[in-house]
Amino acid sequence: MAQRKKYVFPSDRESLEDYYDMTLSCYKCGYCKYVWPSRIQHDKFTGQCPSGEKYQFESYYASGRMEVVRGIIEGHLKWTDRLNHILYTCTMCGACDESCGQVERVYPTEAILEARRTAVKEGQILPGHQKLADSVSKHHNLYESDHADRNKWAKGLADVKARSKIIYFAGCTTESMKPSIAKSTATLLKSLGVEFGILPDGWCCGMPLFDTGQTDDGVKTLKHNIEQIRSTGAETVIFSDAWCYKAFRDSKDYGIELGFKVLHLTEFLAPYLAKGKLKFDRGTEETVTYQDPCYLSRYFEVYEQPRDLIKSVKGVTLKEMYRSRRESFCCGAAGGVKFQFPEVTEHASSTRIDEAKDAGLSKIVTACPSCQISLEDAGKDRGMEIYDIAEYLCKGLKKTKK
Amino acid sequence: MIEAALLERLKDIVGAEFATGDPEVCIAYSRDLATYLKFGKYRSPDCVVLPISTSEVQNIVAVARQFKTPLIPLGSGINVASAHIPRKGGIIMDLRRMNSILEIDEEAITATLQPHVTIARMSTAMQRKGFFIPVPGAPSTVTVGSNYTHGNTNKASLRFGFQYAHIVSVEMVLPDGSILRTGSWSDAFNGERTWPRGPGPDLTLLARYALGLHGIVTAITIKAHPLDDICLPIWAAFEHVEDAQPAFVELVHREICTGSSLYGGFKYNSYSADTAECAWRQSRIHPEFILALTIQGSKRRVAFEEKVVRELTEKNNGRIITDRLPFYQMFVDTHLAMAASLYSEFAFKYWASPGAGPSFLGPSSMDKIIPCFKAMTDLASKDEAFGDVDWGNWEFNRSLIAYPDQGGHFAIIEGGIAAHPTDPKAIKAYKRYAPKLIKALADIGVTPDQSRANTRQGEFGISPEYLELAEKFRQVLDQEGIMNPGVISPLIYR
Repeated sequence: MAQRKKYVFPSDRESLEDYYDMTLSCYKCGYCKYVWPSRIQHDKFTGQCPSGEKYQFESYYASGRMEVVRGIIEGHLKWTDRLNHILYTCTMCGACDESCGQVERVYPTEAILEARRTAVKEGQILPGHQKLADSVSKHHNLYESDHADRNKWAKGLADVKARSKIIYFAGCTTESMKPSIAKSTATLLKSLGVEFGILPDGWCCGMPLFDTGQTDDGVKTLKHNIEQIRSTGAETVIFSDAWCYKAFRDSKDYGIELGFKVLHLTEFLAPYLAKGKLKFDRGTEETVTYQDPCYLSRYFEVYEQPRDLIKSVKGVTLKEMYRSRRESFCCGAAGGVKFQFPEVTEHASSTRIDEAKDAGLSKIVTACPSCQISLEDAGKDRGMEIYDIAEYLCKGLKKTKK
Repeated sequence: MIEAALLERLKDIVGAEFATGDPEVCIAYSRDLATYLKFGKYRSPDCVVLPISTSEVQNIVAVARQFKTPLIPLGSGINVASAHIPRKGGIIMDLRRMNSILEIDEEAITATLQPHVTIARMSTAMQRKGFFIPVPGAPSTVTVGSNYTHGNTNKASLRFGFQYAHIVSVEMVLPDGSILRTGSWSDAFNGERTWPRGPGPDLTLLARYALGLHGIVTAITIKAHPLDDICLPIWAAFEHVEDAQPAFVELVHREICTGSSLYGGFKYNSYSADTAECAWRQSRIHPEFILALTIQGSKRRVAFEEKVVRELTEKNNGRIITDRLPFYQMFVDTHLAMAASLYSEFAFKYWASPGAGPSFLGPSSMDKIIPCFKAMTDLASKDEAFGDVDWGNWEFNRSLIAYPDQGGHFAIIEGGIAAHPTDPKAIKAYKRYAPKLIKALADIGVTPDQSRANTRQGEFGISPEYLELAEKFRQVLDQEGIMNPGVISPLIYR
């Protein structure tokens, strides 16, 4: 008889062994694999697990991964390429958690993340993830960009301030890959008369390191940022990148009390919109859809604010894809996946583009640079336009009549 | 350990990315809820293969026969009976990629589906066309193939009858690799899937309950119905079974409501509760019995039937709970399935919380509902475990569902005392309680449907004659003994 491990209360779980009870709680009901039944809109788009949809084997779905985690705990599985592939192709989008939260209350991503931490402790760092850690260590960003260039985008738009009540944390993906998002965000904030500053020496938020089990490195870089923010006396920090937002929101998990408020740009703008201080007009009539970034929506329930902002743009109609809000399908970028297994990201994004096209849509707005990048890659040859919400709103802002 | 040559052959058939012997992949097929309980050790397959078409299934069967390797077909993988956990290693044939809706015939109002189309997908696709398929009595994540081969199609709706009667035809790959098509699909000259019977002997139910032992279902054609103008769920609550039963019988005999079922309060609470404690607490405040009813039809018909339901409820000391408490609407929305058959959404929470069984399911006349319920609960109250208020708490754990068929000539009565199916104390109690319950039911003239109820050894035994016949069937169809060895039909293991 397999040895029964002692039950560990969820908040007391500290090691992979402590998740044993959770793995046995999975009853294979299959709700983690599909959109919640009553919310299925189209029979072609019912799946909700990016890696499962791609690889099809049970091990690549949350329910199968629970068995894999059990196998590791029981000592039946050794670290192999296949095991790492199974563990690290999960995008951590949380769709399985969302469904199982309504059924058995197994939270697969927690167990998967703990398995990744265990893998790292046992020396199992994948090359793509090692590269990430090296880049963060050397350049303080994920993309081996010159750290000195991090605030280049801010010229004429934002300033480093020694003291500021509001800080805008652009994040290294935005700074290195999508500076236009930072520019648009700064423009939006300035248009509202918001006094804000940026950090003199902002590092990567650490989220991809946390996601890939490299917790110590993640904590190091997150702490650096927090100290920088604290030194400015900031009361509020604004994010336009859902990954960075999650890193800071989750800081308590790593024993860090922030001492300041964390808001996504869409959350920050929502009260201004409600008070009628924001008006947008893109000068055209068009229909767009919204891609929920998992780290903003499912994890922190920021569903309505971005939608309200998009709907407020004159002439714009917001049409949902078949899978939206809690049932949204991940773009495939998160969880450190795109740095090691880009084919999973490509497959997920491509599926999402298929869905948008099937719904008769050609424009997608999202609220995270990583979603934007992966959807752009998948949609560039298929007539799909992808916008970050800051860019999208900012273009409308130009035509606002004051 | 899988033979390299065998794995290579499988890879040739389905492509290298869809066949593997990696233990990290195989382990995902080694456990379901009951496995630890039954075996106490791993039962991983040696390899997993994911076919996409009937011809690939045929080729895999041929390879398994050539290498004399066990072949275990797997659909949803949702069961608590370890039906598809390999006893002797071998190949798991996961049918996940066979998930196409092959055809929706709007003339014949049928849908032809590959086996891994989920109930939810099927329902969505049909409703988009203005049709619906009666509820299968399973969560929406179950696939049509699994639902059929596990026999969960024995739920009845008053208007539409048993669900298995909706299966028009089936395509199966038999253990010898040949293809069997049933119903009018087997007609070489016509081949249209419109008529369940013939030509020749009707073998449509061959795969039912058989867990893949008699072959692998590769396509199913199911009859659908046009969506009605209105679908009105209306639930009536009663404090006593003596009140609920006459109301239920009269409604059924007058053929009022499309879907109707009588639920014990605990049973339906346990569907929606997150934990056993939660279910028990809900049981203390909820009505003891509920008539979960749905009226479907034109505006006029619905108005008339609603009036009758209200009158009968009042006459029998009940109340319409869907009027008074919006709270209940949540349950109605969730479990519309059981009553109305429009949609199936109920989760498996009742497995998580109090668990299933020991249960019985018996076809009976509707006047047996009260004695069945009493026999079941009286026995439980006297049982040393189930009757123990500190553990068994039978008063809140008893469950009952009754649903009528054929205009109320008889009903299926499903009852049980809920306990977690992996709890060793519960297992011990089942073994003690089950024979007594069978006898008590026999005394009142109810014979449990043993093929359905036997989900755990030591509970209701299948008759030796039945087992002998099942074995003969198997010897004819599967001479090499490759199909899911260690399992003999239905739902019992060696």
